[in-house]
Amino acid sequence: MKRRSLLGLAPITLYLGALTLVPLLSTLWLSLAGPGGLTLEYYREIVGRYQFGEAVGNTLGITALGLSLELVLGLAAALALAGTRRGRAAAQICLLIPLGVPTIVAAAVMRSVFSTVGYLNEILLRLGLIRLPVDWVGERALAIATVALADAWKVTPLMLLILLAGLEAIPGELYEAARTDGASRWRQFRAVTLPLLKPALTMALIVRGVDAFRIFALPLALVGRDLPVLSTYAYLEYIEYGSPHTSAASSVILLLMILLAVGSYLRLAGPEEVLR
Amino acid sequence: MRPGLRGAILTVLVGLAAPDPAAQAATLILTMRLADAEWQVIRQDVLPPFEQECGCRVRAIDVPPESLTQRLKAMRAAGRMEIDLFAQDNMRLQELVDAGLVQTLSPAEAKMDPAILPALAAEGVLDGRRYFLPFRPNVQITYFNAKKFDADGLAPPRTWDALLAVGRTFKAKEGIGRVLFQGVGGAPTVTQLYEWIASAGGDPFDFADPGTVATFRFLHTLAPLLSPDSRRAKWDTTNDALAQESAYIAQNWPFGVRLLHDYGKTGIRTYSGWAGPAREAHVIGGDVLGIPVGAPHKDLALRLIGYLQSRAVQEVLAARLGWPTIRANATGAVAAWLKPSVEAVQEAMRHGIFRKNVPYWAGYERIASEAVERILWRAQGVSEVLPPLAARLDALRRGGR
Amino acid sequence: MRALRLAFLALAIAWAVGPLYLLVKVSLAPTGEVMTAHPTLLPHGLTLAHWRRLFAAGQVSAPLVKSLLTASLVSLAALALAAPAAYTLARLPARWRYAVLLGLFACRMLPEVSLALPIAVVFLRWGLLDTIPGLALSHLTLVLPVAAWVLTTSFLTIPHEIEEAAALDGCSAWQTLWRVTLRLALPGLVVAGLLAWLFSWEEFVLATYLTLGSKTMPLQVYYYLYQGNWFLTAACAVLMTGPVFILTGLLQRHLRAVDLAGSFR
Repeated sequence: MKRRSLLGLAPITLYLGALTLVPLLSTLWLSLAGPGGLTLEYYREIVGRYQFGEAVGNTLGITALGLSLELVLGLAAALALAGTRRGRAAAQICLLIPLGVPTIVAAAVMRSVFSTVGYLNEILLRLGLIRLPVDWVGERALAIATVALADAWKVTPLMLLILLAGLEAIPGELYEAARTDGASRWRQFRAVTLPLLKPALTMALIVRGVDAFRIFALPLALVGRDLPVLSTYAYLEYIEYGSPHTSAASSVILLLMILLAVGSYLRLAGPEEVLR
Repeated sequence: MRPGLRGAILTVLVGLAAPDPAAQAATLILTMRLADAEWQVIRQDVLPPFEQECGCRVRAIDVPPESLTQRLKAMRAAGRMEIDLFAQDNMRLQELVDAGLVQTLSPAEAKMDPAILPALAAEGVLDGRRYFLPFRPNVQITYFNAKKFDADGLAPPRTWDALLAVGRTFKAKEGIGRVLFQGVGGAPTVTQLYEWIASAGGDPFDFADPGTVATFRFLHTLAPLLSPDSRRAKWDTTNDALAQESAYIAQNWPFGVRLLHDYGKTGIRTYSGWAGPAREAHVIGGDVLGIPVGAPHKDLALRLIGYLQSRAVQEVLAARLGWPTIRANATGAVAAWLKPSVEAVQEAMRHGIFRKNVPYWAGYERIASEAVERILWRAQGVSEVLPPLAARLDALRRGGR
Repeated sequence: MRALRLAFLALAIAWAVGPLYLLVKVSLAPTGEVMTAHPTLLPHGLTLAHWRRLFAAGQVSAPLVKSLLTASLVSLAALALAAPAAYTLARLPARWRYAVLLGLFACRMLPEVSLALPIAVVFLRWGLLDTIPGLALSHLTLVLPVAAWVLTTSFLTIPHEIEEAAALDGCSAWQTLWRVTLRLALPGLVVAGLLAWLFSWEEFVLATYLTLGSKTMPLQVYYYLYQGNWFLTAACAVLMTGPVFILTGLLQRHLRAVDLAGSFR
């Protein structure tokens, strides 16, 4: 009986094994297989290139900044929505719209917003906040911030959904009890909301964090070569420079970064967060 | 006779009598890199008459010059060459030949109309064998925003110093650079750089050459006067920068003229450009046609080559897109708004130079792009950036990677 | 406090919806409104010229068809593969269930670029490069974990008693499955199918690696973007976003039926 009931898992396991595990091992092999046997030569080669170090820094910067933005904005929006009664459904739908926008469309939109003759500069010029158009994707730090913001536009609604669900799971009595104890709103937030939101926050962070490291379309379309991130670096290595080995090495490094990040977060947050 | 048998015999007879479906349904795959405005003309005006004449379909795909080698290699490795004909930038030819990806053409196959300019015909011969046939030459001209120039009483610069003066005037007046340099890296940047180094009398492949160093120093001086969009500017986006007036002067291929005309930007005019310290030099780029090894429809591909080189087609390309032609006798009925740029192109061609075809062009592009990026965008000193890159370039020339 | 909240919400809504409005505006704007140093924020004129050009060139019909077919294929295949797995998972003890789901999600953690390269090489050899089935196969790998999760949650909500009651009423195992279980799990199936469809429709990285000549819609948008043609980019992007909202709107009631928040209790 047990054997038959596990049969349903067979197709999916076989499929994922064939199309995930095998390519992954293949990439690993490609990154290590030199003309004379296993070698770290390809890793040495790309780590030495000046743009690779930047790609790593850019990836980390965009991920960190993006996640922070998404968390803060998502939480603020969730709190604001939770406290609204009239028109809440309409507001919620409006706020969720960017989630449905395909990534490349978001990139196209953000291009026209952040261009030097784009809409953001136009608004700021009209408001008198700037005198000359700002090159949002020129200097590295500003470009990282712009890409993080553009990514946050599309992804914050997801955080919003998760955090909203988490907020609504908190029983109202806890707030009542805190209020009768004389706790201020801020105190209530810190003592009741935040701790009970932790599982939702963790889930949101992990789900988004992993995706953030893999960011590809947005930096490619918004900035291009000037702001390499690990995925686009690996891609360009293959398609333009025709070196599959270094491309594979870059993607393995990206994978290791993701594993490291997830692993250390789980270690810090406590393994009990894994339950779902 | 039994009805089934009769039916079968009829079917076989009809099948034998009908023209070979394989030849009728042949689809020729052609790859090129073109701007959107150019694709429109190719797809709507140039290809359909050929399709009717040969009874086949031509599927034209946009493939950037830097990925063509990789794609052909991948197809060959898989044992399925799908591309029948490609038009490739005349700078990325040696690597294709060295990788054994292109078919040699016999004298009969390579027979060309004598009206085709000999200099262009010679481009397709590498290592003593004929691989490619000319399709279209191309040369960059200089676009400038006449309204802005007139408002400040400026004339289009004819020397580097004049260019600096123009740049400084705009920067002082508006607080932001208005000269555009195609700084995205890769082919657009290196093409422009090659031209500038040649006009300074330098050797583009030697970063220790005094002319080359002088060019980079000039770029360093020009950097603060450049429009911020230069960082990402390439052939397509340069036209946008001109149209949106984030740059007032820029070099680009002539296809932009038609685009700007479509946008109604009549205030933007063209001329052949400026001279460097040594001379006026303009790189002759453009595409040549080649047939990959293992192409499924070689005969049709050869026919298509002949068609694309024909007087009728070259005149259409000249008239609709302002493309310079490979023929001496195809002037075509050029529209009035296109005439000034055609003259600019002809003037630029008179100072035309061909880039040296080297097998390490891809590696060269990388090194040169890095030099431009560090000197222009990261404000690093010329004497700091060039020597190590010169060493790398030397190693490349001697056969490294 | 209240005023602050409302102001924040208003700003947030403007930020969320504004850029999309700009996209639609650009697709309908006369060139002069955009090809200028100071683009207008409100429309001063409307034109269908860009939309006409998008369709006239004939370049967008092939990507549209390819994306539609690929997404539909992925959606159906995801259901076919994930449903049996979810059914099995729902009947496993909780520990095993979480372990398997975690394993599935670990697959999703891998960067696409690390999978795409070998897949592209192999597909080229098998003649699957540039084809719809090939692309669908690769999309499935990233879609299956989410589909399995949604369906597992959905199957979990169907109490055993209902199935036992059906069996007592004389239904065979197959009939129970068809008439009872799947019908009750319909909202979950719709959500999983929709998520799979949407993912495949907008997928960009794998499509970049696995196509040569026949683009998908995201690649077509990127192509116009790369070429610097703002208007065609905008029109193509709007065309691409349309089906997303239409589908989501049509299937909205099913979305609400799936209680995603249940996983936190």
